[in-house]
Amino acid sequence: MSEQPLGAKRKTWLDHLFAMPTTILISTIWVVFMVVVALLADVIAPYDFKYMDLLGRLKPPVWMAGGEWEHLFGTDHLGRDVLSRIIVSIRISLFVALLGTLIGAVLGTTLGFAAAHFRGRIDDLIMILIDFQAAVPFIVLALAVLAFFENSFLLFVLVMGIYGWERYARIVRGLALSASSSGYAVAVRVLGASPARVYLRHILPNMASAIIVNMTLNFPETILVETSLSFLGLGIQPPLTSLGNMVGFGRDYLLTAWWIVLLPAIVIFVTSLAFSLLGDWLRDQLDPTLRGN
Amino acid sequence: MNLAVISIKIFRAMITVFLLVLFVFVILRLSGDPAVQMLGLEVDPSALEAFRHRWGLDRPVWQQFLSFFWNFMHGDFGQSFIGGRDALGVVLERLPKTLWLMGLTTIFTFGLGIPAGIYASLHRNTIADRAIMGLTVASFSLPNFVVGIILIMVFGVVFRLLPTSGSETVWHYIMPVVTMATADAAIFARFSRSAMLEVLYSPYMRTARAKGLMWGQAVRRHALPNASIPIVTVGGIYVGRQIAAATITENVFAWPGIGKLLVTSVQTRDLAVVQCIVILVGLTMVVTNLLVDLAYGWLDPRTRTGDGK
Repeated sequence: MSEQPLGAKRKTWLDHLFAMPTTILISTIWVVFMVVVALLADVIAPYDFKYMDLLGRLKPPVWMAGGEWEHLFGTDHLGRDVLSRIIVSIRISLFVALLGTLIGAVLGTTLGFAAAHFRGRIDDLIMILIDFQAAVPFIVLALAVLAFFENSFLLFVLVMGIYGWERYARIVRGLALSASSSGYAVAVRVLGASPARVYLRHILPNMASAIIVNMTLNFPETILVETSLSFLGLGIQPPLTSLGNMVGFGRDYLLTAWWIVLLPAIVIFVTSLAFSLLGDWLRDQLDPTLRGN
Repeated sequence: MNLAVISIKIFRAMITVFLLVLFVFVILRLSGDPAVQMLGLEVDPSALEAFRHRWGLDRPVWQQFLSFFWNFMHGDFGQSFIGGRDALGVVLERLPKTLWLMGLTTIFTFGLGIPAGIYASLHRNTIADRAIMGLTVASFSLPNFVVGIILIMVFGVVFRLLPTSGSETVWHYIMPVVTMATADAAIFARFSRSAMLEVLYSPYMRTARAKGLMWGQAVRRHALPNASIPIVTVGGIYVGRQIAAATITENVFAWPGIGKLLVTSVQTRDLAVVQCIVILVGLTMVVTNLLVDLAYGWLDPRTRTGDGK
């Protein structure tokens, strides 16, 4: 970074933007668009997403015969505006995925640090938990939890939070083990810093890029798990809506009203694709071990 | 791989099974009175009492856990709501349908994914390579239920070529198998590509070329066998993904297998069946991972010597 030739102009963020591959640029634009939609859902949704109009059921989108400008993407089997429902669904699906990713990151990082710090028995125990989580398909465990407890929004978010924690724990444990014996960590410890300070102020910033990359890769996967469970009717419960919910409830109307299913399905696909591409690209940019290969 | 390493692996596998049973036990206990959970509130008190006694719920917690474990190890998972039948029986009855689905999917996945990956590796950085890799990324982002719904829309609704639900004829298999294979073929394509790239530029390939082998011969005799070893390691992940995929896909196509049973049981809170499926899935995964470890040691002599690391 510091070895720039004399006279070279420092790269501005605009230069970085133009240096991005086209697919990454498009993905970024889509992700920003989705985030804006999620944040402004109340403002931009033309109708209340729960408002039913039983006389105006199954109206096609505007570009088809019989479509009207009042309902850009048509209406569903209860006469609700599909565009408004997609907008609110984007907000809920992104919100659940974000919360799930954050919970997983905090949980995994904490357990990873704990394993690296205490070693011995606690390390063994956490490693066994990691192996266990990695061995059993997550969706089966999630279904078991949702079967035994009454499904609620909070419980569902917590279940989503557990998804993928073991990957953070594995990464953080490995990095913390090698970092705590490195010069800077030893130096700070000799200066009298507490373990919490060493881990949070010194080691964590050094592994931030690895954690962020894993979060970007975990985020689209969480979207897919959430929408899958919601599709099965076991995730987000009505009256709330999610992109998976819309596909699940709309599948009975495939013959007459494909738009109820296809439009949210496209949003799921494009959004998770955009996040995956960004995550892969970020990893190549930030992960020093992959650079130069 | 020596005996000590194998026994450590078996020990760890047993710990995973133990944790799984503990997991089911804990969520069952946390979610309320297990007797009421399993039998429902409307049942008469003597049945609740009999249930509590049978599962040892009137004894201390650790004894309860032991008897819980003991019953599981003897295949006693309790009774399903469905006609009060044995949960294990209800589950095993559905097993063949799911196994057929998975077996056919596996043939399809390997046949599609591995050749695509090998082809991409041999034509690295060409348009074909990029197209294959682009397709794999896209198919990762397509959840099973979306693939299934789109297939139903195209082949079931628009063209009316294939049946959309059930499992009676050969035609019923086509769409579920294609749905399950899309994501996993992508995994094998990516993995076999990177495994091939790893060996294609290794010194022994240069040696093989230097001693006069044609490129194609060198690839067949040296690169392919060496690259095929790491593919075994994906086995565990693959089985796990198959189970997850079957859970979703069976529900899209109303396929009467274990995945459909699991979701129905969760919806109706038929907990005996749910816990039976969870334990069986866990056992399957543990055994698969163990077999993968053993097979890897057997296939790759380099891991056999030394401390087995």
